[in-house]
Amino acid sequence: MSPRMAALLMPFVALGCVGVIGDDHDPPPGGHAGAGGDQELTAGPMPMRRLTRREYDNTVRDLLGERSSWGQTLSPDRDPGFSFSRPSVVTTLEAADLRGAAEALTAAAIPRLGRLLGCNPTAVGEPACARSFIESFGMRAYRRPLDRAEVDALVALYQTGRTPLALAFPQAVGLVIETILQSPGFLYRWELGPQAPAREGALVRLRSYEVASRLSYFLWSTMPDQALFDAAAANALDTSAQVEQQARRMLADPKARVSLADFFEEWLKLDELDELSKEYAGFNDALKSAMMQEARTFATHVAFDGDGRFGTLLTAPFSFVNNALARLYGITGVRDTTLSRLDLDAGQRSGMLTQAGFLARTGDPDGSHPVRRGKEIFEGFLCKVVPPPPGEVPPPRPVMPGLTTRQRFEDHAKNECAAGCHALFDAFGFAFEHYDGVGRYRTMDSGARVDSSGRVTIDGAARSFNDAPGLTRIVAESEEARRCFAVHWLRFAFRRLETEADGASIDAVMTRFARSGHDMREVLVSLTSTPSFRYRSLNPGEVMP
Amino acid sequence: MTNDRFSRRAILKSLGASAAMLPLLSTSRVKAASATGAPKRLVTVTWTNGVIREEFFPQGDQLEFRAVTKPLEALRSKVLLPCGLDDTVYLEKGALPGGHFTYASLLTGTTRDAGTKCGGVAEQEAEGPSVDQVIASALGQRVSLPAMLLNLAVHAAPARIGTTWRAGGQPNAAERNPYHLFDTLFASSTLPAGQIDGLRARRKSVLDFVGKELNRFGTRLGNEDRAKIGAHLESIRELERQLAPPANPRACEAPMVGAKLDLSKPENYVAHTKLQLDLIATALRCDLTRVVTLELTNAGENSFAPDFQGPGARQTYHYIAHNASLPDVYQRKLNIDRWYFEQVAYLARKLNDVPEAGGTVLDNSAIVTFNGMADGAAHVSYGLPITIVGSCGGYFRTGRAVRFGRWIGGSGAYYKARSGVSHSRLLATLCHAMDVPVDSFGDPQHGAGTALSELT
Repeated sequence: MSPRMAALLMPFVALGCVGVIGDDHDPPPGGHAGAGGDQELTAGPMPMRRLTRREYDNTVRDLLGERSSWGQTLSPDRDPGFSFSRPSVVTTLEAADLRGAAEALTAAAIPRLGRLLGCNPTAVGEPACARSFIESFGMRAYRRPLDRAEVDALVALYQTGRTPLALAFPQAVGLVIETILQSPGFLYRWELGPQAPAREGALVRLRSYEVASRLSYFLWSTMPDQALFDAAAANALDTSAQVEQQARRMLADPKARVSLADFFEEWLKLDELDELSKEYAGFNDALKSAMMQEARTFATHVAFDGDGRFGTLLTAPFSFVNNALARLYGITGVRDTTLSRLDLDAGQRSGMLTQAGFLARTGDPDGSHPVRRGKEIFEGFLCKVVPPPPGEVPPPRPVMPGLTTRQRFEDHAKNECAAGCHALFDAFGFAFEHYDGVGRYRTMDSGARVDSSGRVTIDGAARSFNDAPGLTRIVAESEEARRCFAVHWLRFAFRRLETEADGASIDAVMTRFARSGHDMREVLVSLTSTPSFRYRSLNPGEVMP
Repeated sequence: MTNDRFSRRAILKSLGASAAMLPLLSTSRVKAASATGAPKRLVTVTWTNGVIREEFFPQGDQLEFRAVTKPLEALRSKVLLPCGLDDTVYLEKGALPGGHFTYASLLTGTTRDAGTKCGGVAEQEAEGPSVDQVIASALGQRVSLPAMLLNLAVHAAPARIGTTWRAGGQPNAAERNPYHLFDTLFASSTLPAGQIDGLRARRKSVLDFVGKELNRFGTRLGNEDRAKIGAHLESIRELERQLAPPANPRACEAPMVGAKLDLSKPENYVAHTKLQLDLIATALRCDLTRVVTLELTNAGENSFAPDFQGPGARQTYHYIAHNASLPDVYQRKLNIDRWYFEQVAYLARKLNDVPEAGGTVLDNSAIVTFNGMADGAAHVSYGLPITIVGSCGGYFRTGRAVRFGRWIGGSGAYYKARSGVSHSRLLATLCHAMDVPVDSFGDPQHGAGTALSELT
């Protein structure tokens, strides 16, 4: 199990959380620009980061026209300190894996080199063809034009391949491809070109090519398409209106559906299903995959084919179900192994927190886990911080006849040292006591009727509920939850935590989100026009050329 | 190497890690060989969830093989039990009560809060390099091997909380795929010589170019990003070193790996473990590597227990560890504890079966086992259960148990209290055993100290 889960039997702390989350509506010290006014523009930092496994495969697909699953051979991108995937540093093992991937991808590309070259070596001459290939392919691979010195260095590498290494023309070009695929310009996202950064006061304004990359990796998880490159070349990504126009175009592309599904999969941490085992005979790879697909299909449906509303995500009484999921949901007559839309019992199911994926991921092998589920919602959906525990907390009592899960955990929370933090979030988890470890609905637990009622504090007010549908309705209407959703999109877009300097950008997104009736598409579009998207602060130690 | 803008020291500096965390290498010559000239090897094996302590630690002063360590009894004369060492740095600096967060400190003698984490758990990370990394780097100056250091796992820890660290904040990734490992170690030996030379030449020109690019790319970045590029560059340099053909290739037969296992299936855990152990044994025997780390479980292990037997067979290992005080669970935990030592004994036997320089490969090695905690229910990180198998070329005086700290008579068993002796001193001892003399190892403010003369 992940240490995150291990910690549920352990006390936990959350330190160093910064910025705008929480229920405190006062501006943080130092202040951020509010709506209007002529306060100085602020934007958070832009840490350099490496392509994730998914981004690697998508980029290779668009760059080489080659389906790749080589990204999956790299180390998992899971970062225990962060909500979304974020690759770690390149270790020796990783460097060897990147080399293996580059060698295999190049070997596969060489027989089809004609399509990539863009010139005929016998017509224009091999050296000229190699150079023109390096210019165009290099631009796409590095997502920015190469300067003269960079082109010359790659041409020299091609020549090394031709003469000392005695490679034929295609293999020498292959050597260039293989090298580019292992170069920082390809692997890292900072799109650091030879040009000096465009300073504007304390900030750096992203140049057109950088904005193009930021847009495409945010909305498509891949490199820019030709239209974005064209816009970048024409400096047509300089105003927020231009950026937003591109964002709207990109959202209509099928690639945006995949990227949005990735967001939900990672937000709900459904990749962890893969490692779980359950006391449920049918909990096999096919069911795990169906759970994952259910969440992905449901989210993209609501976002792109449905009303797009945030509240619908959390309260919809329908989902996408195949035969194995139907069995789990207690529905008969579904035979198909592929998923299709189905109305569920609205008394039992209400949005993605009551879908099997989230419930199984947060459940125990042989039962529910109210504390884990409560903490997930408290932290992951309300962006609240669990205070550090006062000391060592003993684990809950083991399973025994006549004692319900809730009783076992309540007993645990009564413990003097556990009451402080558990009181805050346990009730969120008790709402889900109707669902066992794989998400099956149950009315009885250890011989007693399930009690899923509770009382929580949301948006500063105490709210009561009877069950999970009741709680999810409260969460769906909560300002804290809406802001937390927007904050997660910011984290996803920038793969970093928010800082105080992002405050104005988040406020701007929240304004547009509210104006749209909480249409989640508006969060994505409005985020691209914020200062935090189009600008960055300087990194400590950064050297200006 | 020294011309790089990103020396190890510069990286550490930019990461804000104190140079004091780097063990000071003494000026004396690094030998890397036993008195007989045979190579020395170090293998660390780590798992978590503690042991049933009263069945691990000897009750008296003498070496004793109780239920947990029974599988090692046949190798009695080659076993050394250092009893009662504390994970001092974790006890003093760890943010949480011990247990699942000690992995970073076990082989480094350092620990620190891993930084910001909203919606996650406080993680600990290392503040300095781990003992395997320090030894392999020092030996790498003298000997060129295809893989001086192998970091392996069966259940890998999430990227940032494994046992092996290149430097503070920079975890080494552990390879958990034995088929991948096989390809790395043995597959190139199946290529014809001419093709190997061509492959080497091509790879060399690629790495050379990438190294230059990284250097150029790094110059403008901020400190944190520059450190990441510096680490990447170090990895590229390591690959360049690995391109050199082995200095002393020995005829060596690759092990049989058999039909492919589905590594994601918990029920394949046992076979998966065996495969990794077989590959380690061969790699050591063939002198493809000198330093190996193996994580059998991750730090928070909660998969099903490896024994897969008995009542409640589908309980998780973590649950079993926490509830070992229940009578029926107790026996299961004991069985699991023993199972892990059976794996250690299996590896030790494989090395002991190979004669070398008048002894065996095991005699020229030290297999050192660590556990993330002492006791699975209490999750404590003092009185760690550590075993050493093999004398590392005669360095360790084996066939003994050595008890550290004071016996607090009457108030309970000695291993249920802090001894006040830091396990960092064992790490310093391991460096000495591998002929990489250091003055001390670990965090100088928390537990670093000299080698433990009691063990030699």
